Amino acid sequence: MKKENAAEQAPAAAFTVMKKKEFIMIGAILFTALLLFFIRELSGTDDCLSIRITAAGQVYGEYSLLQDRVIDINGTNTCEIKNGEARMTDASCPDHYCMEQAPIGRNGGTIICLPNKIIIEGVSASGGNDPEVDAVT
Amino acid sequence: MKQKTAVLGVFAAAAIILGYVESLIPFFVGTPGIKLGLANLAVLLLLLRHNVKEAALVSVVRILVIGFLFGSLFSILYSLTGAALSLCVMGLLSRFTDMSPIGISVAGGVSHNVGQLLAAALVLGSTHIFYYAPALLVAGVVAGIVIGTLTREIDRRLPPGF
Repeated sequence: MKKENAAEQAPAAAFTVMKKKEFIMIGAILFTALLLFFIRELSGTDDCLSIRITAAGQVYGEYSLLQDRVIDINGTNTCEIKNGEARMTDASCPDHYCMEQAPIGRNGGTIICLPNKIIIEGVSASGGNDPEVDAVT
Repeated sequence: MKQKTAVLGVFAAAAIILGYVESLIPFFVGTPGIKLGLANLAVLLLLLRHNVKEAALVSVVRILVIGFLFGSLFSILYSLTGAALSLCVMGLLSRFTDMSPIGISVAGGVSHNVGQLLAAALVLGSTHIFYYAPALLVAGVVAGIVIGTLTREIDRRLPPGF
């Protein structure tokens, strides 16, 4: 009802005050966020020894976090492992969000480059790395 | 409302400038996609004072102009997905409930982020992106409160007719 002449008259005072249901809504959203956070933290690993790189839905390779190295991913992105942490150091996309995401260390984590569809995730297995195989793909 | 086109033009210009101002602020907290959404101020104001159709029109114009000026086709697609869901939610809430601008803005901010998450999950073909869901939900609430408060204050001071 308030919409009819909203352009012509100043809004009623009651309309500008937050209602109880709005606080409930905000509380529910924050509770959901907290729940998702705990689910994420509990399902994650705290003993992350390697990373798995996935490009366009295909597993690109698994690399140990214990060994410093630079990984070229499809020529579009560069992932660097240094001092037990993995981060994206170069990307061909314009926004470079992936390069600013938190590095993956022992506590795991995820780095995603959306434009190039690349996912780097921490995994607990100290997975085998085979650069020769990966270089072909 | 005699000069509707002119008013919509002013709102679109304001939204584009706000988008530009936002692109100047380095606002990054380790999670992609978190931003204040200053341009939403103009859209929310339109929604409260006019209607969903006009808000949608200005929103699309703003996304296309800001996207081509400062972003990429990729970021435009994401913005459109988020904005579409956000506008639907805010439009429904402002028409059928008596929520304040802050509540509407929070719902809009959160649904914007949820829309972008869903679009990203579709593009990636994986649910890994939901790793960022908790941070994006909280960010949506915070940005929504800030934008909602600003919109309410501007609404109080802006003369009727705009």
